[in-house]
Amino acid sequence: MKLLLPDILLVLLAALIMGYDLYKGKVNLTSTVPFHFAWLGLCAIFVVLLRLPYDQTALYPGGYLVTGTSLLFKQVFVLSALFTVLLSGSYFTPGGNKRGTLRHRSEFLTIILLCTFGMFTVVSATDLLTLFIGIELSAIPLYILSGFYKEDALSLEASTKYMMMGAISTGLMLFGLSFLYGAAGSVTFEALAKFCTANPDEPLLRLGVLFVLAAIGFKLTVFPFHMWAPDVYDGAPTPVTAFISVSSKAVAVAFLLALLYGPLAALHSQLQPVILILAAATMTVGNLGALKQERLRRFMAYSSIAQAGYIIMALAGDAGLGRSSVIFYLFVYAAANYAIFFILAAIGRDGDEQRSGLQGLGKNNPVLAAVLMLTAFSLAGIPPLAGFMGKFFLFAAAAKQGYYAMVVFAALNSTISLYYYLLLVKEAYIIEPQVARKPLMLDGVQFISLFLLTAAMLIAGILPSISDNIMAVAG
Amino acid sequence: MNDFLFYVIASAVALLSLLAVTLPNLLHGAIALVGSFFATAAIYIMLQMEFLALAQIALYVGGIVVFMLIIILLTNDLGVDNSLSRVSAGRQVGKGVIIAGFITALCLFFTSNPSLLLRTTEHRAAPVSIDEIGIRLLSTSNGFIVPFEVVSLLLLAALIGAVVLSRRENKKEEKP
Repeated sequence: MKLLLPDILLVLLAALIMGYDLYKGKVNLTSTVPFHFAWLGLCAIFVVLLRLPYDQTALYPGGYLVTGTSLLFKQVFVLSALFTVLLSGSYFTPGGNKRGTLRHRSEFLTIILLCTFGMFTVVSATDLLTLFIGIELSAIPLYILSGFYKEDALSLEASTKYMMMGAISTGLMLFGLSFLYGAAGSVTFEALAKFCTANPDEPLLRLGVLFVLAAIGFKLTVFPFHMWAPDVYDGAPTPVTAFISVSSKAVAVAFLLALLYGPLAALHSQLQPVILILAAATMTVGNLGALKQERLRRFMAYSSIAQAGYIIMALAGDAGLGRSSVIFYLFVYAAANYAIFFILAAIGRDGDEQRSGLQGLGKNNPVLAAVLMLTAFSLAGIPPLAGFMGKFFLFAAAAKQGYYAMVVFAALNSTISLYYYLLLVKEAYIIEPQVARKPLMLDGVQFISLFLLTAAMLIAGILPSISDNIMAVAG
Repeated sequence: MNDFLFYVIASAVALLSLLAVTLPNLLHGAIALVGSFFATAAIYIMLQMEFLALAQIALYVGGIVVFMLIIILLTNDLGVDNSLSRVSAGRQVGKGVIIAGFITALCLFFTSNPSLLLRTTEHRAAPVSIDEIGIRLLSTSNGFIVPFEVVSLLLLAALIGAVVLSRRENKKEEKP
């Protein structure tokens, strides 16, 4: 049962927080105890995850599979949930954010934890049904969380739009999965893999894959299914935006990896051109869209669309390289994204989360400005930082299959992205503020989180041992 | 005879579904939806899937559509007012062309790569009894115990979310 420990602890933690709220919630609605429970519990789960053996595979009754790769994905999900919880801290304290104070903290935390459990299910599934339920459990809570500013029209719009888009994508996915089921006659990965190897040209199979790709394209914000992202990212509360941009994307990639290198491996060579076209279109659309954005959450939406393009490019590679490069990049991407969102939280305390809020940062708070610069460089992929190593592995996965033109195209796209990431740095260092504003201040939680994230970006870029470990487990 | 009946019911499903999304009056649309669900249940019975047919009628006709009808009747203007926006003829034609193109492409694709599964008739699934469904749902080997349990967490999350979103906020309560 050792390998199942993180999953069990996660559900228990969710039950604990909900239970505490039922017991004490009426007495003190603004209590911070659930918050401390949540981050301490997630830290404990992460420690448990680190201490598990990564070279073992266990299949539990009912078809719940735990492998080294799925444990690595669980690390990403737990870290992402942890930083979301830490980020949400200032949004629940009165005066912590100009947009308003969020309420119902323990419900928020419980939903985040249950959502993370859904992600755990996706990476451990061995049949289409479990996979589907897992991806739904990781999506439906996000529609609720996007609407947590109940009096804010933008937040409600985001929630409604996200739910509609999510419903369409769920419909497409069920349609596609039922074609796969109809073709193979069984929902288990084993039977599906056997059928795919025997009849790779079966049209029902292709139809199924087409629908599933479209459905997961919504969740991964792949062109042409990306149009919901800017509105939802802009309207949702910032911690939720951060969670959507990292966890929801990571789980969609995990879903694609599970299918493409699992049961549908026989179709992989046919799907490579499709994946590359989608990747090229997605990164271009994201990069061009980000150029003009003033609102930072909207800007992050386009930036993360472009990043999704780089990520799916690696899915054209072979199983080992594809998996390990994607997981490494997810860590790197998560660290950089959360760093930006913590800076956003600092801006949002007294002002709107706009790019102009960064003005004068270089003078008022040189440390925070330096962190912003490092983060922007990491997202753009400048050498000594982790973002460069991450992109290098992604591009290498595609290059190894001989898609050099694609790699050149992606590198060009990366140059465009450098322009708009540098705009952030320019705003912080060069442009003088028009009006006097209060210098940005960090509270303790934000300071420690930003310190950890920056350290992670530097260390993962310089020390090769982290990427080597991931290669050894997933490769 | 069986084939003939299938085509009659299938075209009824298509027609009623079309009516459900095109009728300007929402109430009429919902009633067309009831008919479409009933016809779908009839197809399930033809395929000897009694459990699915029962679930279809109990859940969709009995639950969801009645729910929709109540919502339509309770929200004042939606039931009577012709509130669905009219779409211009040009856009209708545009949509029609896109859909026709898509269907032609699908047909071409399927006639050039005929499916192995549609040609062989012995793939027909045996009728499944309700007992078997129950046992498969809860058995640990070759069963669906994991998704069955995870669904409960999904429902819990949705329930908590629904309560939070629909609760009327009492501002006084939060003052310490």
